[in-house]
Amino acid sequence: MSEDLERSLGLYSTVTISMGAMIGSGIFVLPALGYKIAGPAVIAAYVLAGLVVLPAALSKAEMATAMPESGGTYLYIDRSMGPLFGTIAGIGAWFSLVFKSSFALVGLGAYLLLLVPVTAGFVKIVALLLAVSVVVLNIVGTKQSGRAQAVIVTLVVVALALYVLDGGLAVDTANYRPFRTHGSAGIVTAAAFVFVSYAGVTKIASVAEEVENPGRNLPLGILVSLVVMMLIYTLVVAVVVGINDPATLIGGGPDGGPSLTPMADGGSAIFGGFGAIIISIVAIFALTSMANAGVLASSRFPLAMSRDSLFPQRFTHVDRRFKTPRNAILLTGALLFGLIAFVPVVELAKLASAFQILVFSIINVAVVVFRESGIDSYDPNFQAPGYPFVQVFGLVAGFGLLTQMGTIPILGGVGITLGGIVWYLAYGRSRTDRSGALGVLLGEDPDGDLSSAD
Amino acid sequence: MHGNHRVLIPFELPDPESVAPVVIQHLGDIDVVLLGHFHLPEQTPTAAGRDQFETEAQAELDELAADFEAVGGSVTTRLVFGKARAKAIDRIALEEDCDVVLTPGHADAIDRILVPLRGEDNLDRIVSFVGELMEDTDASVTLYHAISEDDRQPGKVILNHAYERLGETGVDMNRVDFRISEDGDPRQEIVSLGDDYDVLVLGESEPSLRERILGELPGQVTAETDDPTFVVRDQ
Repeated sequence: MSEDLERSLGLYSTVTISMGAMIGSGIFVLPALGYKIAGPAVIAAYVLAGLVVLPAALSKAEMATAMPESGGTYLYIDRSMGPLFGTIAGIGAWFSLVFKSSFALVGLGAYLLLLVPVTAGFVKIVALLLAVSVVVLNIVGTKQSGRAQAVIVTLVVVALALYVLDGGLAVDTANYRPFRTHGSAGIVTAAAFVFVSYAGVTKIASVAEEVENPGRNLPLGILVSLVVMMLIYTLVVAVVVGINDPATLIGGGPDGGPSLTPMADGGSAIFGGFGAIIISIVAIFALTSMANAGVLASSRFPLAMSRDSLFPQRFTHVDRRFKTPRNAILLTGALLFGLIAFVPVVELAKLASAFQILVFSIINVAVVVFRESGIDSYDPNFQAPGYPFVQVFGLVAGFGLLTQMGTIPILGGVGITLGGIVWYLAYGRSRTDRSGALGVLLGEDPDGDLSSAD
Repeated sequence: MHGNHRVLIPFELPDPESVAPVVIQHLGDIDVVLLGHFHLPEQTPTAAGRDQFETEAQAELDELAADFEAVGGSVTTRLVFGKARAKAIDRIALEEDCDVVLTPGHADAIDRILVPLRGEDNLDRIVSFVGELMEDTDASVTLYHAISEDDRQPGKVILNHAYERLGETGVDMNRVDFRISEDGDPRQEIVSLGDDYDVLVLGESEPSLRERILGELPGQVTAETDDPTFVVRDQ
């Protein structure tokens, strides 16, 4: 009689939550970094990245309707492939989201500094201060409602649309030639690099337990938000490339690196010359919202893993005064702080994408394992179309992108995998005895039960 | 148990505001559902919050329920963890078939009941509940209408109609009087008039366009008044 869940999110809220989680660093910070890799063809890279995300989004939607409880990526992979892969995916997804949040905070710092006459050298310090405030805000507990989120997303989308309409008139078509400065390989590398721009679709699954009519609204919300974002990204990036001097994009950032504020750089050409200020303000809203949501969502990973005995129990603890999972948020905050302080900004973005690709690839495998195991408790309301070809494409394309990213991201991917294995062997294995649907598939466990944590 | 009504009483957990003992006493004959809503911020997954706080929250709720059971009432308790309090109230009221929601407040006695009426929407239900309260207490009742530009009918018609209906329930009509006010905004009028009364009974009538923008009247009144307030739901 006391088992009560609140289902309060409709389709529109679901789409805006997902879009709100996507709109941020991917569009306000990454375009110039991608431009440096692929030239004007970075536009195509955004489309390619969206296509590679799609299978994982569909797979995830399917699993979310079979297990509409919170936990998201980690939970699905754990229940499908057992705690070893659960550990790898949980840590990978957690890292990816924290890397992305730290990157958003650095970008936020860069846009803030456009508004005040302070040298760009302070970007890191500003980002660190912002990180502290976001973490404190999350520990105290925010009341950011679905409606407030919807308002911010709507405002940002309107601003982006105006940017495209007004900036479209100022485009210099010479900027698109040559289109592929670094060949097709450049597009693939850039796609891998901007992959993280779509990571926000993850957010929907983590609020799955609050979505009304999940069988319809979850998959539809994921698809709608993904398609809309592909369209927005493509158009906005096309304008960014079209109205900016290539030299500014490639060398206008801190220490002569790529610009971190590409959308404001061409500001004098749009909105009657006030473009830089207007875009900066919009960017600050979007990036703040993203960093806040990122810390909120990423702290769920240590929490969920702790509830499943893969992480020390203290990370499930909910603070009595603030009613928030203080320890999980503090751990996430510590990682966030360390990343901003010690990791160069370009590497933050690359690693965030690399971890994301890794996790999304595993998600595609997870759905295959579920279906092939044939366990009764896996009964999704929504079945991903094109199975299993879509999943195979997602897996192959994901690893294809990963191999094109260069040494550090590949090492990062391998490192997370090994780290996950070591952590599982040292900590998780002795504390868990579930084997997921994979155990059923391999004949080890006759009755893989989705709901039992252990 | 003779009533036709079921009253939902929402509490904000932990450390709920208690219901005035005199109200509990007079609710003795009416079915009540106690809803404990434990607010969790966005950061906290519902399941994690419930795991940690369920036992103590249920204990608090049971303690509240004991007060009602002590006067012989039929009590149901529901415990909800979550973020959207208003939605939880709506949902539980629907599930538990409650037609009245009581917001706790201070009262030393139930001698005077104020019944602000606005239209015909759920007049029957309001009148029937007021009749039941009158049976359970010795209170006098004031039917009240504040004239406003949103009126679809003259206030006198509304009040007359309510008076007749109340008479049909068989209560002593000497205990009932009228009051109409011409000026000021209804919310302010009701809140300040409430100082002279012990308990309010309000209808949750369809909000007008203006109220959709400024917030619903019952919500504003219950937020500002000190009196226990029964809000009779639309159905």
